[in-house]
Amino acid sequence: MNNKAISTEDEYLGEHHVYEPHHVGLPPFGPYFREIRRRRGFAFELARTQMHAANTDTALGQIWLVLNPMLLAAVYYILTVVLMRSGNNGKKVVPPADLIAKLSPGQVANYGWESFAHLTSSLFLFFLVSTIILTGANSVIQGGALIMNTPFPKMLLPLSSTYLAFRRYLPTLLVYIPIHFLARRPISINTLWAVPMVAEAVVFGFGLAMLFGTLQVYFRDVASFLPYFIRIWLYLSPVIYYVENLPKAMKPFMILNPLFPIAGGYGEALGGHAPSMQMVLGGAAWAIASCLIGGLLFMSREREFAVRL
Amino acid sequence: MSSLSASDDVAIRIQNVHVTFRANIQRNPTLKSTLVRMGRRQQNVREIKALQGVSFDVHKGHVMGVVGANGAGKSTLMRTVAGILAPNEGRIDIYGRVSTLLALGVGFNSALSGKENVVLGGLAAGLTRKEIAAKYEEITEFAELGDFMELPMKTYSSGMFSRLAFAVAVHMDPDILIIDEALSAGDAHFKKKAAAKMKQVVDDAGTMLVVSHALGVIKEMCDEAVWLHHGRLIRQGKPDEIIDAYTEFLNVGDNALVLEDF
Repeated sequence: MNNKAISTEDEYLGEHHVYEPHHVGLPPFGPYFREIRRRRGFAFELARTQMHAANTDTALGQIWLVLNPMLLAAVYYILTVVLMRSGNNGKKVVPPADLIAKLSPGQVANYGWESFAHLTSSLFLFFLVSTIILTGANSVIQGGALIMNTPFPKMLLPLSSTYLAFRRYLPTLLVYIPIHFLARRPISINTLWAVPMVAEAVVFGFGLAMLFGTLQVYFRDVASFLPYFIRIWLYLSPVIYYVENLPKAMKPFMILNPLFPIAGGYGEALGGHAPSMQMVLGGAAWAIASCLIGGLLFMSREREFAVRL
Repeated sequence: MSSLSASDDVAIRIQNVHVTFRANIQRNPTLKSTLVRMGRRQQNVREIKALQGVSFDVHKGHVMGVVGANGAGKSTLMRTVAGILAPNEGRIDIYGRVSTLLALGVGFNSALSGKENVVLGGLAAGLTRKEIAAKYEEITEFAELGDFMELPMKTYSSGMFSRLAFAVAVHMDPDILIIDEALSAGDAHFKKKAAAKMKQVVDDAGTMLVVSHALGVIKEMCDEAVWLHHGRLIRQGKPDEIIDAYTEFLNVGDNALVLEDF
């Protein structure tokens, strides 16, 4: 390469563009991420228009964004508060001993509501991650015509799906807050731990969105088995049960499930406890690993997308 | 930018560019079919050498026509110059802001309105919201779409679709306009308007790279032309010469020249 000085000028920026084969298939990171930053408006706008398009034709319109989690919560209410009572011959269901130690007397007395609050908050977090993955997996395929016509860093597409899923998650918080108080869950400084746990969930989901977005280009049936994979994952994660419900023998294997520290830590935080460092750091490690693997695979393959679509 | 001094009048420099696809044989690639084929030790991909060592320059303010039979690599060349496809070998230098009008047009998402598509396309291309807003009026007016801009693009006729695509491409104030088979946009009235607008782009010292099967258009518009065949540059020169040679080749059919390629 005779003139490296020029080739460091990037593909997207400025008035001089150079197109060359990439070294080891990866674009130069500096310009790539600068350009993502510069065009982030595209990712936000894409998410906004998709959200608008999804609900705009329905009678209730944007209210669905809040109504949908409310209806889901109503279903969980029947599952927990109503069915747990009738399933135990009308007697109150008693939480496992490990859990009693963590709950206040009010929460124990109100265990149906406590389970309801736990289930609702954890499922909403789980839906955040699964929506990122499912919409991210389709984002590249759906961006077909744009990818064929415009040179741009394609990572903006899964990034937009991630933002879209987060925007859908926000109204679920509105639904959760009254449930939190009805279940007499405490509010303390520890509740703030929920924020980094959600951040870990988003970053982790973004990594998988890039991974599955790439795989989907090569294998179009990935999207068909993904929902089943996600459902199994749901049952393996402390979403519909508490971490304390797990049999002791299972616990060592839980480190292999990325959602265990993330959903577990989130549940702890909303229950008013500080999650263990093992959970916080374990979740962070999974989030970083997922972004690195997904991101590197995505970037090394993205120049092939235009051919494969 | 001292290294750019040699390129003062060059807008596009293409040096020994090779593009090879590993195209999937399967119509709809799935994990299942891939595994089945692997089990049978069958190849899943085929290598297609779309461009094989193409080099030429396009000077600023010039209109370069590209002719060639189907499968010659014309569209691949357009996409590679636009930065959409990556060269496997060689190098392309572009001096200026590029706007593309490729076969697919702007139609990014047909569920979204024309307006949303224009905004999204502009943002993806790196324009700011302000820049897009400034051009939006001109684009709508030029495309003559009126209220249709607010409707989903799936309600558009094919003429409206290509009118919008053309309007977007020419209003991006490009230094370099890359046009692939899009000169047939709209009816006679719009064609006339489109031709006038393209002339204006070139008069503003813009550069154009045009692919067309309409040889008359190439003859009329271009200052220079290249002829591609099976991914190789066969000839470069004045449009008249190139078109004469190309038509002669088409009439003769498979001659010695084609056979040389294999």
